[in-house]
Amino acid sequence: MRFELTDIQRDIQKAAREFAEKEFDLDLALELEKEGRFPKSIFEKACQLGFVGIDYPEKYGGQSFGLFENVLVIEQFTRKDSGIGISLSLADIASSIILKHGDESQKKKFLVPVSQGKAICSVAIIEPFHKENQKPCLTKTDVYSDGYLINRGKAWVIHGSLASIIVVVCEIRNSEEPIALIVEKDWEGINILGLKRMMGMRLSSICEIAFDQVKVPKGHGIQWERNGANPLMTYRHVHRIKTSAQALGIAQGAFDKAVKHAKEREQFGKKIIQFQGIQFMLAELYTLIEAARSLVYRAAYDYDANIKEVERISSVAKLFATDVAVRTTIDSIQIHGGVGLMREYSIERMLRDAKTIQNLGETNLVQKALIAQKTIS
Amino acid sequence: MFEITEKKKSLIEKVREISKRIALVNREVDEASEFPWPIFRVFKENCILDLPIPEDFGGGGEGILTCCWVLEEVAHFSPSSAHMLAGHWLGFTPLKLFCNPFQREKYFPRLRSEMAAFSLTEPAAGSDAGGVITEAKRDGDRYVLNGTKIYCTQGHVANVITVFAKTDPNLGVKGLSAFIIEKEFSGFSVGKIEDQMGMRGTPAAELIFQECYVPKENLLGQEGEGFNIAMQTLDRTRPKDAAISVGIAKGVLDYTIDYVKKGSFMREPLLRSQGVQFLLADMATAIEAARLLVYESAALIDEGRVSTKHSAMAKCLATDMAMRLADQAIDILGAEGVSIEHPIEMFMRDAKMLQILEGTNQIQRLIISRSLLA
Repeated sequence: MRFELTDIQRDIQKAAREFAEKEFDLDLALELEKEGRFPKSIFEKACQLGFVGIDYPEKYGGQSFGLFENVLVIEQFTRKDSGIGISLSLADIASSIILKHGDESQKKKFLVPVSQGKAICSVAIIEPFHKENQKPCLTKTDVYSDGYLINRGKAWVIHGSLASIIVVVCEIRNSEEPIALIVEKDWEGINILGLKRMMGMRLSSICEIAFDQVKVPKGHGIQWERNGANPLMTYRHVHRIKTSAQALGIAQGAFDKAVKHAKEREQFGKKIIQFQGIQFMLAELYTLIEAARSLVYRAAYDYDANIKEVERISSVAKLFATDVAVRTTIDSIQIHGGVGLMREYSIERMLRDAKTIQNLGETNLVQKALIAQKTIS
Repeated sequence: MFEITEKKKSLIEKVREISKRIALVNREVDEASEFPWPIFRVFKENCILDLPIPEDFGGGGEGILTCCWVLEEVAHFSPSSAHMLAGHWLGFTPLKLFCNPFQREKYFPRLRSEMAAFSLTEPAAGSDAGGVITEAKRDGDRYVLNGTKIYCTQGHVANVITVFAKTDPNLGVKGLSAFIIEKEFSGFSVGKIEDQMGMRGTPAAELIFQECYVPKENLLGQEGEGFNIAMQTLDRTRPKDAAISVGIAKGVLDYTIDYVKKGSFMREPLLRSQGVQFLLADMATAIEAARLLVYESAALIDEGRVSTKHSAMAKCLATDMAMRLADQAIDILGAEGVSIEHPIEMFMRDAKMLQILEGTNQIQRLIISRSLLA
């Protein structure tokens, strides 16, 4: 067992770090957050340099690396800027489904434009609730001769207003069989409804999508295989691991800033880092971040190596790393004191972003329930 | 032991009704990040603003414990509005403690309807008040102030501000003196208004003093007594920050319980989740524990047995508790918890402010441990 990055992985990490240092401008990030805008030009540059789609095979515009290398990139991105980093890492959120379960023509058609920065892809899974009884309204699809027909809608679609490719998870009417349908946004009958505003993640639009008699050609469907991972499971594993990588980067970034501030800030005639109260806080945070990194890397490794434990370890990594990110950002604000509370310094933004990624999609209560289930069975 | 007395019940009920109405504009105030004058007027017209001002001067004449009950009730529905009151009362406290009869006559009646503020912090003087460099030079029958203060809660809307400056720059905290500054004094101006994480209805302001002339009658207490004035003030105001935290936590818990009763988890009703049940149990327990400590620290002050240690413990415990509770509540609400359609994320941002202002919780621990080891 080796606890070391390879030379190539180190180079990727370094390149991602340098890219983020150069491109993720703080003033720009603050402006984007205020306006709720996606950093389009940075995304295009990240695609040109191969950071987006790093895990796609070369023939689809990628670099033929795995999720592990993707995680290394995400970590360096959110470490430099939580908002920009998160929005970039979510821009190809649906690609894991297409990569693992799509057919040749689907991969060519949908992965290549994403890797070139010409398209953003998203996933629509969560059902909006009926207002009265809090039960989800299931998105059903009807099968007709040339394909499928979708009605109703989905909530909490990340990058919903920007994505041109959306993978919609539906249930086939009557048979109750699940299916993933790749939908193109410019088709007739697709309407983007209210944008959700969140505590953080303001650079990534989150919306509801309504489908009104949307016709999906047969070639756009991804079937569930009888055995093995299905598209939804794949998405969930990858999303948990990517979320944990975002969280890890935010925690590291907040920690870096806390150390820097504590070394510079002077009170009572000495640098505040000389106070043991601060030192112990930093020691605990360092320990938590190292533990989180081990878990996140392990989960990504398990996914790439097709190890079944990924089902549980992806939950463990997401639970732990997002909790560590929230704790670290809270403590980093504390170490910064007053400046930590002010928007212009962006430490408070890291907390808002960390808290948001921790709770979008499967919550940590869900992760605990899943870990428990796997442990019992 | 610390039950709200019969006499005060109607006051607290009135405060609750007012706070519920104020809460309707919470989000608007948060987005605008401006001082909400209509809320100020509501507090003024309902005689809440002047609760701690002595009855001789037309105020409510209330002690710290009653003020804590009021703040807890307001914060339950609108933390930022509670912070507005607490900021005013913080500004009034040094005056209440140290004004001479002439100063009382001049300022107490005004503060029934005008805002007060307290200004100690400077860029180089946060936790360490000895780092103050704003200078006050005696010049005949006046003082001349030069320097810049930061993070003065509501400093831009206050008419009367207690400002701490060095009358002897060669001494550390012993060179500090307190001055009553009026907004109209020449040489005084307001600088930057902060865009802060939480408590956005009560932004902090930068205060600039350039050859600011202050009549010598406006020296509060004696020259060199500034640090003592500041510390005695904070002993009496920390329980109030703690009370706001208890209110925030109660608001968060109530909202979470309502949500839990309606929500679902893993295809089951959310309230059947034991993980959630236990979280709620811990939250409720933490609130009760903090509340008792807050009331005790407040009652000690009212009885004339001010305990620096108790005030620090109440502030530290209650503000940490509120932050933890808001964090846990969001974990229960999930994506809804971080959505701005629900108030919890705002309460969390408000709670974070309280862990830092009026002495970071690290300073509170310093105060507590000093008294243990003395």
